[in-house]
Amino acid sequence: MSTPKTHLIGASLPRPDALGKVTGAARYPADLIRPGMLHLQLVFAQRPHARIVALDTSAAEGAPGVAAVLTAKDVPYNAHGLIDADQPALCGDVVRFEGDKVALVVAESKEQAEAAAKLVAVTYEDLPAVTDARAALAAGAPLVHAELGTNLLLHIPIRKGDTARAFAEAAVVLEGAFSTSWQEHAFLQPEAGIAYVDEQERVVIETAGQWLHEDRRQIAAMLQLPEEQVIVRYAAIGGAFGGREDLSMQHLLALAAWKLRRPVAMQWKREESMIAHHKRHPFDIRCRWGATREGRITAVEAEVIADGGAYASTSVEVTKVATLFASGCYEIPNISVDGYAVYTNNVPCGAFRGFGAPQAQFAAEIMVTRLAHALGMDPVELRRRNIYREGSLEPTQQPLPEGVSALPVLERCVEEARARLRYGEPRESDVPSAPHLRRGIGIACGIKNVGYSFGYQEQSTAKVHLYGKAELERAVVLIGAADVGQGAHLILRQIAAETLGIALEQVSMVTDDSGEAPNAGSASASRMTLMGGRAVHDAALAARAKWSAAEEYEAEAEVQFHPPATTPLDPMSGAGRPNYCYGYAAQAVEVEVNTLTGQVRVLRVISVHDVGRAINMQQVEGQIEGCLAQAVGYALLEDFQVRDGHVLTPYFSTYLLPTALDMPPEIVPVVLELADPNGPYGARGVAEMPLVPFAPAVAAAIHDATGVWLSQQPMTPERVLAALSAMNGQSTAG
Amino acid sequence: MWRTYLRPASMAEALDLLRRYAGQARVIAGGTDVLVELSRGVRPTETLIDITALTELKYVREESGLIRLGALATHNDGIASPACVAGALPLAQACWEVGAPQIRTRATIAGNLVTASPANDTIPPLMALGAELALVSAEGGERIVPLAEFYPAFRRTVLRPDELIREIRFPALRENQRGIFLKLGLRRAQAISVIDIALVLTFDGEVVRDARITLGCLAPTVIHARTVEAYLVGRRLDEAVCAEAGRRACDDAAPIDDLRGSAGYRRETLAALVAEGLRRVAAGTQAAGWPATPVLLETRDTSSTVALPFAGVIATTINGTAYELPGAAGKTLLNALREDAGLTGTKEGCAEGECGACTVWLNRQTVMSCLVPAAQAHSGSVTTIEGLAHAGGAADEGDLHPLQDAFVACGAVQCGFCIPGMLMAGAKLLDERPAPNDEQILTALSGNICRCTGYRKILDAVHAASAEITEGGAA
Repeated sequence: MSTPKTHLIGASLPRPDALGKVTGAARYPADLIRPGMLHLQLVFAQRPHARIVALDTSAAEGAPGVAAVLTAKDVPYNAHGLIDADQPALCGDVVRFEGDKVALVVAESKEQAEAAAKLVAVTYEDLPAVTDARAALAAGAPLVHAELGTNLLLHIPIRKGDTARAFAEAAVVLEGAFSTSWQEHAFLQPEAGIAYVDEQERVVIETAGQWLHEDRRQIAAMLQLPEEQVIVRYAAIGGAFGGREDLSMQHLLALAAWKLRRPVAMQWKREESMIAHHKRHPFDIRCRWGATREGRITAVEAEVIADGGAYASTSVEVTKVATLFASGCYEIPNISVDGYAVYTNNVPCGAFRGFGAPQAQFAAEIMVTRLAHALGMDPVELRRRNIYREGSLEPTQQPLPEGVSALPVLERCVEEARARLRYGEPRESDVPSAPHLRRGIGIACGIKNVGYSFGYQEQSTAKVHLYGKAELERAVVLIGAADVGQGAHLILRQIAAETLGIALEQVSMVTDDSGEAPNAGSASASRMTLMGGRAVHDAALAARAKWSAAEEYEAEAEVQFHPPATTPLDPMSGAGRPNYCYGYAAQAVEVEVNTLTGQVRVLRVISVHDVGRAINMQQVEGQIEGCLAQAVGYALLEDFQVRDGHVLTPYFSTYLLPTALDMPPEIVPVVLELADPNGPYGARGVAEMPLVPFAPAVAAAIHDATGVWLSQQPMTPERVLAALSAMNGQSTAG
Repeated sequence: MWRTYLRPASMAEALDLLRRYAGQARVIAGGTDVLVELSRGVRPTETLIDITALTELKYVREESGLIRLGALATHNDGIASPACVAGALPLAQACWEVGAPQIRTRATIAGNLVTASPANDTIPPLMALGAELALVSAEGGERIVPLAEFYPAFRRTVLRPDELIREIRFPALRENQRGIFLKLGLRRAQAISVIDIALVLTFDGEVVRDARITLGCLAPTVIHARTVEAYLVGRRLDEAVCAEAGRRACDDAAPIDDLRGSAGYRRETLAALVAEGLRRVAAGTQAAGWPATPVLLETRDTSSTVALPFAGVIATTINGTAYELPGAAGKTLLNALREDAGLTGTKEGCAEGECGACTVWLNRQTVMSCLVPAAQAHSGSVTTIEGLAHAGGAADEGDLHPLQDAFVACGAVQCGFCIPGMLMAGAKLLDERPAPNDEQILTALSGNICRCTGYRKILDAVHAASAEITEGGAA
């Protein structure tokens, strides 16, 4: 990559979309609803597993204002899914989780649709439900998808070296068992949208999502239409975090508009959003780690089980990521990890910021710190001796992609922690006035892939139109990239302007229509800056070259960027080249633990990231700070409770998110720019990384403060107090 | 959610309506509980009787040693009342721990009592303070019920369907009395209590002469910890006594497991909270941490507004423009703004007052419009995000409120969905105090959830706007 002059790269330019968002002018999906549209109301299953014996819609159809009641028989191809099309749009025979949909009521008003939905009579025969991932793997367990004959969605082994021998020779061997829970995306804007059939017989869906062209693909398949006959447009998107990657209602809007030939609208209540869209996977992780006396980690063995819920979503990929990261960001010669993704009758799980990495490294990072303690070694020193370096072999036996910055990231974190938290110095008494408040510091590292993995045909396409006589006058950049709130549109625009050597104002963006803008790929996996940015960069260069050569007023170029290829994991050994880029992170946190109530307050956070190159420093900091808020919630607060397949916390009053007062008073984002070989101007992704080390760093800090290890996420006050009581009970008994 | 909205202009009219509807209607004031219940189908009704026109019921005053709270006294009124802070600190502390500013400005203390959840924060302090309620009805006149006898069972009260709480009253704490309220919640704002306790102790010098200790979320109703109350009489509050009292409190509790915590966790933390409360009362530090000037997000104004009679068609002023909203009497203010007035800048994030995305100004208050019946805006004035720039003094089209400018400049906007509500709360804070500190800003915004930014740049933006406003004012 060339590194030309950069007056726009790194600049903290204000976001053009912010103006409409601070004045109320920005239109989010629910703001598109107009008088005269038909309103949709879903009938949810509200039971974890049942056979539909009878479905009587006659009373609902006769209710005031009702235009239609759609059911499974109205869906041309009744299956969708990002990877496996295993989820019905409307269930016809069996419901597999409580958020499954059985009927779609279409009425003249929202109130009429809601009232009529209550009149849809469904007769169920309840089936035995399986709501625990381990139980789902047992012989004789109820089957979520009977036709598959098993609840096992994926088993992926990773084998490297000889763990049996390594454990036999290790000086220290530790075992651990960890569990993580669901996490709800809780984007502030609940799912909503409109759809209609336009004068060209195209079904147009205006909504929110993360990937225009993938939404289009699934909707077209469901309606059995050519993709060109489906137009997906994104309004302002009120957050996503992975939670809009699966279809939620987009296809149902399309179905109703297509069937009724009238504009339709739907807006989910928060509790509908909470039960119906996918979640972060709960994991159950059991592992064994071994190290030599000299502090060389020599062996990791782990079993990593993901509760995928009722439908496949992206469980297979999430589980592969978790399996890959079960040994963290350390070069360990002997590895034996088995990852399992399992169907249950719980809410389906899929993408959520971090995508399997936070769960796996909650276990791995705690194990590394415990190993260090067992060896009598500083946890940082143990990390330093084992952490990935340029050329290190991954668990999949291939060298890491170029640009390995795990060690400099860690070193910077330690440096900041020494300076700001006095890490490593003997601690004075915690809070002299309050002996029940104890303080501690924890450090953890993290790794997360940037972009799609495991042999996926990763691409991003952009088109650039240029206009100008002697000089470039303006540019139009076409790229179907979702700005879910992360600021992608400004980043892509900055890259275009910089590459073309023109002002930001001379670049206009076409981003939100699947019929106009080419496929950028998903706004997920921390990939849009690297992938979309590189496509824009390359298309801008190509267009500029054409424009210079042709001496015409206009020129255009379209470029499809492909990063270095990855490969599928070998089904026996997991061998392969899983990823083309990683992001590296390290964090130091200081906590205060109330030993009487178990409450943990994070006082200070240092979060260090190699972003390759910050395209917009303010936006990079915003990603780090915002991701840390979700990490605080994940580590300590957000307790998504499910019992027997029923979500017990479907409201914001029961599923608690961090408020402004719950944030650490001091957050120090530290941004390193060590240049990625593929990214535009050396940029790589950052959006997910702060979530990866945070929970284990907090666990280590709690241990530092009190001497107890937490192994369940979230680390709620009750769990902390239980751990403290258990320790005190033991010490009294001992 | 309801069909008929009645807004009586006098107490006599209100009582007459209650009698006529004979339990078929529900009384509404702040609406912060009633609207949540109605949206979930709890105690449904077709008719709401809004008593907020009875402005004579909005008072907190002390008269010859008695503190009196009218039925319309809000949590903010309790917090802002010097008499309440001096003479009923546990109550003021409980009011401060309820919800977020947008809730405290609307929610009445009487309403908190009537909702009757054992988790309602004002019940333990009022019970410990020995409160009694004046209940009125058209036929029965007025009767006095001690709060301790108000709750016969879980979530039930002795309030008759035709009755209204007119007043809550209790003796102000005397010089030899000290009290405290402590709450354990799962986050630092907007948390329903896991447990809460109130202590009111009467001393002879350093010896406890009388102790009243009440426990929330530790039994089907709020209860007295009788064992501990008896134990403490005649003792000095040394460390051993405080700890022992904490242990004994568990004997008085009969908690259950629920979403917020197990019975075991409640017992264990009860011991800690009682001991901690006693230590602080013994040390005289019960008021430590009480904010000198609490953030209220409302313009304190004692001048009473005359509400015009409501006859089914809402006539209101929104952003300085007169609106008639004929179809909105059965809606929330949020839905009326979005659907009837066509102002979609105000957002729905949760529809239960938890996220703040729907925050607007109604008259002098900063409210969550999802919990306001639209009819309460009748003859009033509403400011939404679309009118913020003008309200902030912007002269020209396209000019913004300084806080809007600051949000753009500081990078405080990501997805932006929370931003309209965040700005309405933040701008009211800057009206209330032009140079707020961190704690005041975070408190003011504690009712507004942002899932994108981590709040840091929002905090920066409020400081930046504050600097702009105060320096602009100086120049």
